[in-house]
Amino acid sequence: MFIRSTQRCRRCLPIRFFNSSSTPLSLSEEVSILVNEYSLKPQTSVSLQTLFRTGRGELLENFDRNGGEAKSARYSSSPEVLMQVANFIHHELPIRLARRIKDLNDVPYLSDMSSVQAVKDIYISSFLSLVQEPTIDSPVREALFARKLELLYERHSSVLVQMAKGAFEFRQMLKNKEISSLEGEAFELMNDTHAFLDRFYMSRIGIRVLAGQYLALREPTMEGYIGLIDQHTSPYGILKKAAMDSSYMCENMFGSFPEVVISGKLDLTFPYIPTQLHYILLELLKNAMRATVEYHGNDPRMWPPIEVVIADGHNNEDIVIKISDEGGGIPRSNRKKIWSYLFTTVKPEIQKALMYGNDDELVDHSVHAPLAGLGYGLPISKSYARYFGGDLSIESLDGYGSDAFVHLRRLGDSLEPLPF
Amino acid sequence: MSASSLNLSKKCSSLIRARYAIGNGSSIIRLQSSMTSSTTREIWRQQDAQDDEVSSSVLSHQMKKIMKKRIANSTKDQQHIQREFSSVASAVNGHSKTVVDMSRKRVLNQDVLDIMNQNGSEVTLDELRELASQPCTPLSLSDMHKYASANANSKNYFPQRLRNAQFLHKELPIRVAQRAVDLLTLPHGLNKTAEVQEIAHKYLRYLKKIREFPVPQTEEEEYEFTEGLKEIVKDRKSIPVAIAKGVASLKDHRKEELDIYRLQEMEKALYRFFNARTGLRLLAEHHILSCVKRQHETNQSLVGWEESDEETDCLGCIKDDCSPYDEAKKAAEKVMTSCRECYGISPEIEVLDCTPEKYADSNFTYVPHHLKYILTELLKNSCRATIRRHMDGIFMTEDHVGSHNEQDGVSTDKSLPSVRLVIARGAEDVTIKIADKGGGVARSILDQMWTFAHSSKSVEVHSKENDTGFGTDQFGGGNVRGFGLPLARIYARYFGGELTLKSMEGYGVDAYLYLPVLGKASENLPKRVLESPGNLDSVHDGNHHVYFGDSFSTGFLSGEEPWAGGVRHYSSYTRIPMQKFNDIAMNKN
Repeated sequence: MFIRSTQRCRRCLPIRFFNSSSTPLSLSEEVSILVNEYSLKPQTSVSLQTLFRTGRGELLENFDRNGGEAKSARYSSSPEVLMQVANFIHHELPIRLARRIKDLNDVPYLSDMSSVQAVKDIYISSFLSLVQEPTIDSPVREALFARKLELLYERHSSVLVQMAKGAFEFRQMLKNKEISSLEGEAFELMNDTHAFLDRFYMSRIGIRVLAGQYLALREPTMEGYIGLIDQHTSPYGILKKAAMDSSYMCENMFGSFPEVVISGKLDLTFPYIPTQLHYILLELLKNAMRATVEYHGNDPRMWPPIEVVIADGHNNEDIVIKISDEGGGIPRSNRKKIWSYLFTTVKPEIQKALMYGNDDELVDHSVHAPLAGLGYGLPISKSYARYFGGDLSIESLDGYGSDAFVHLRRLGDSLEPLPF
Repeated sequence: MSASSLNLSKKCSSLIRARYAIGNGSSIIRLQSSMTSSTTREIWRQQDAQDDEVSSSVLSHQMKKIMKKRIANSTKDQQHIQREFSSVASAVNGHSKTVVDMSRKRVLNQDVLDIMNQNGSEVTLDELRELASQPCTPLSLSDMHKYASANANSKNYFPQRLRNAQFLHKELPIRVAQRAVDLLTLPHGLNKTAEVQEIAHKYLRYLKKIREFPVPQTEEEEYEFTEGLKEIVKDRKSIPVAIAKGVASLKDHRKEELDIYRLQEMEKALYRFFNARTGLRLLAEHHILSCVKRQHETNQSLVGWEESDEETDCLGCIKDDCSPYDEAKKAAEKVMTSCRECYGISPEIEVLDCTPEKYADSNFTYVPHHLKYILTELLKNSCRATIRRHMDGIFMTEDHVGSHNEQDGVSTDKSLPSVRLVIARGAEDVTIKIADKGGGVARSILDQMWTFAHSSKSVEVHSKENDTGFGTDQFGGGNVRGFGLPLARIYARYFGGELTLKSMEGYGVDAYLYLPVLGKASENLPKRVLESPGNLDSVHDGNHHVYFGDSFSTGFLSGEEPWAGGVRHYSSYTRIPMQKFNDIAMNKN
C-alpha cells in the first residue's frame, strides 16, 4: 500500500515518503521501487591501497571467476583485472547512484530547482543503464561495459556546474523571499543545504574515482602509474606545476605574480592521485596569490612571497603541506563562509557568467576552475583532501595572513568516506 | 502504512527533525532532519544487520523512547525537542551510556550523604540542591570591567562596589554549590577518590563561609566580605592538583583501562567543571582586585597588581588596555629562563607584532593573567618539543631552509630553531600564532593532547623536567602533566575565543590563539550551567559547545563545518581501520 504525499505537504513537511510517486516529474513507480531497493544495500568503501593493488592484479585470488590461476604481477592491466574491477563497479555504482537519487529527491527546496532536477534525471538514466547490464563474464562484455561507462562519465561531467546553478537559483529565491515559511528555519535550512551539497559532492568524487580508475586502467599505462594513481607522486613536483599554473592565471589578471618559495622535504614521494592533489594545491595557491595582490596593492615589489613547506618524518601518518601567505588574513565573520558552497567574494555578475556562459560546453569545473568564481574551490578541495583520509584547513591571522594546511595520509590505507 | 501511523508521522514530522545517518565503516551515528516511522524501521533493520550492535540498540532504544514521548507531549516547544535530540545525538555520538547521565541524581545522593556523615554537615543536602539548581547570571567582559573601572573618588564608586558585593553575595553561593555538585557527581569513580572528596568538602566550607557573611549594606561589611573572599581565592593550586591526582590514581588503580566512552564522559565533566570554576574565580578575583587601597590598609599583596608575579595572590583581573605584545614578551622571557634552567639551553623565542597600522592603537580588553597562562603553556610546549627533537639527534639540517650550523654533539643556541610568536590585531579579533619546529605530533595523537586525562605514554617523560620547574604545570607542585593545554583552551574559549593546534608531522606545530577584541561575548558558561544547572542533563559536549551571544560555535573556528555540529555526518578518515569492511571490499572483487 502506498501513501501519496500530497502537494501541499511538500512545502511544510520536509519528509518524502519514498514508496510513493511523490515526485511527479521524474520517477515512475517501478523506477522508484528499484531505486529504493538499491539504496538500501550497503555501500562498500575502498581505500587507495585497494585501488592500486587491484589494479596490479594482487587481489585476483579473491575474485570468484579465476580461482587464483591468473594472478598476474605485471603492471599492465590484464583482462582478468579489468573484469574484476568492472564487476565491482557494476555492483557498487548503482548503489551509490541510487542513494544520490534518493537524496536529490528528498532534499527540501533544492529539489525544486530545475537544475537540480536535471541532475537527478542524469543520475536516474545512468542508474537504469547500469542496472540493466548483466554480469560481466567475458572480455567482450567488459569492453562494452567500458564504453557505457565512458559515456556515463562524460554525461556526468557537467553535474558540478548544474548543481552550482541549482544552489545559485536557490540563493536567489531566498534573497527574493520567494520561498515562504522560511523565517524560523533559515539557519537550519542553510545547514541542511550545506550538508546535502557536502554529501553530494563527496559521493560524486567517489563515483568518479571508481569509474575514472577503471577507465584509466584500460589505457596504456604510464611509468609508475596504476590507472589514475601515481605510486611516486611527488608533492614538490605537483607544487611546482601548480605554482606555475596559478602564476600564469595571476599574471593574466593582475599583470604579475608573487613568488612562491617551497621548502621542506622536496624528495618525498607517496602513492596518490596527482590530479586531485594538483586541484587542491592550485586552489590554495590561487587564493594565496589573489589575497596577496589585493591586500598589498599594485606594486609587485611590495608583494611578500608565498611560503610553502612540505613536512614528512620517517614513519609519519601524514604528509603535511603548509601554504602561508601574508595576504591580510580572513576576518572572523568570514571564516565560516569560506567553506560554504553558497559564498564567494566574486561579484554576482561574474558568477552568473561563469555558470551560464558555458551551456554549450561540458566544462567540468572540478578539473578546470577559474581564478575566482563559483566559490566552490575550497569546499571541493576539502572533500578531495578528505576523500583519502586527509584534511584541509585554513587558519588565519586577521590583519596579517593565512596558513592553509593540507594533510594527506601517507600510506593510503584509509577507507573512502561514504555519505549515507 | 495505516492512517493512524500516517497521523503519527505527520505529528512527528512537524515537531521533530531527526534523520538517521549511518556511516559505513564507522561507529559514528548522527541524528538529523526528518524521519518517518516506516523509514525508521527500515533503517533500524538495516542497521541491525550491520555489525554495530551496541550503537543500534542504544540508538533504537533512545529513538523509541523519544517517539513515545513525542506522541504523548505533542505540544512541547521545538527548542526543547531540539535539545533532547541533540542530547541523544551527543550521547550516541559518544556512545556514552545515557544511563549514566540519567542516574546521576542517584549518585549525588549517595555520595553527598557519605561526605556529610564523615565530616559533619556544614550545609544540608537540600540546601545544596536548592542552591545548585538556581541559574547563574552570565556576565560579559565589558560589564565586569565597567563595575570596577570607576574612579575611586567619584561619587558612584562606593555604591557601585556595594552593588557588586551584593550581587556576588547572591551569585557566588550558587556557583560554588554547583561546583560542589559537579565534583560530587564526577563519573566513573572519580568522585569517590579521596582527593576529590576533599575538595568537594572544601567547597562546601566556602559555601558556608560566604553565607555566613551578611549581605553587605555598609562599607565595613563590604570590606569584610572582600577579605573573606580573598581567602577563598588565594588557594589557587590545590584544586587542580587534587583533581589531577584523582585522575591519575583512577588510572593507576584500575585493572582495566577506562574505555573510550567512559573517558569521554569524564572529559566532559572535567571540562564543565573547570569552565565554570574559571568563571567563579574570575568574578571573585576581579571584585577583590578592583578595590582601591584605602589609607589604613597595608596589605602588601595588592600593591601594584599589574606587575604581580604568579606567586602572589590575586591575578584574575581585567585590563582595559591589555597589550598582547607586552604579555607575550613577558611570557617569552619567563619561558626562556626556565628552559635554560632545566635543559641548559633554550631556543630563541621571537615575538613579532604584525598588526597593520590602522588597528595598532585600538583597545584590547582582556584578562592578562589568562593570556599569560595560555602563552606560557604554549611556549613551554614548543620549547620542550624543539629541545627534545634536537637532543634526540633527529634534527636534520636539510629539513630547514637556511640551515643552521650544527657541530657534532655540541649544540649551541644558534643551532636550535627559534620559536616564532606572531601577534596580529585585526578588525574583529587578536590572533597570536606560535610556530615551532619541534617535530610535530601525529594527527591522531593531537586530539589526545586536549584531554585532561591523557597519559604521557605517547610522549617520553624526561625525569629531568620533573625535577625542575619546567616539567610542572603553571599550577606548580607535583607532576601535573596533561592539564595545561585543556585549561589553556578553556581560558581561551571563556570569552569567546579559540585555541587551535595544527601539527605538521616531522616539522613542527603551529598554535593559533584567537581572542575577540570587542569584549561583547557573554561569559562562556557551559550551556548546562547557563540554563538549568540542577537538571544534570548532558547537553553540553565538551569539545564543541555552542553558546549564546555569539553565532560561532567554537568548534567551528578550528575548521569543522558549521553544519556538522562538530561530528561529521559520514564516516570520515578512519584512524582505526575497520577490518571487516576492508575484508568485504576485498571479497567483493
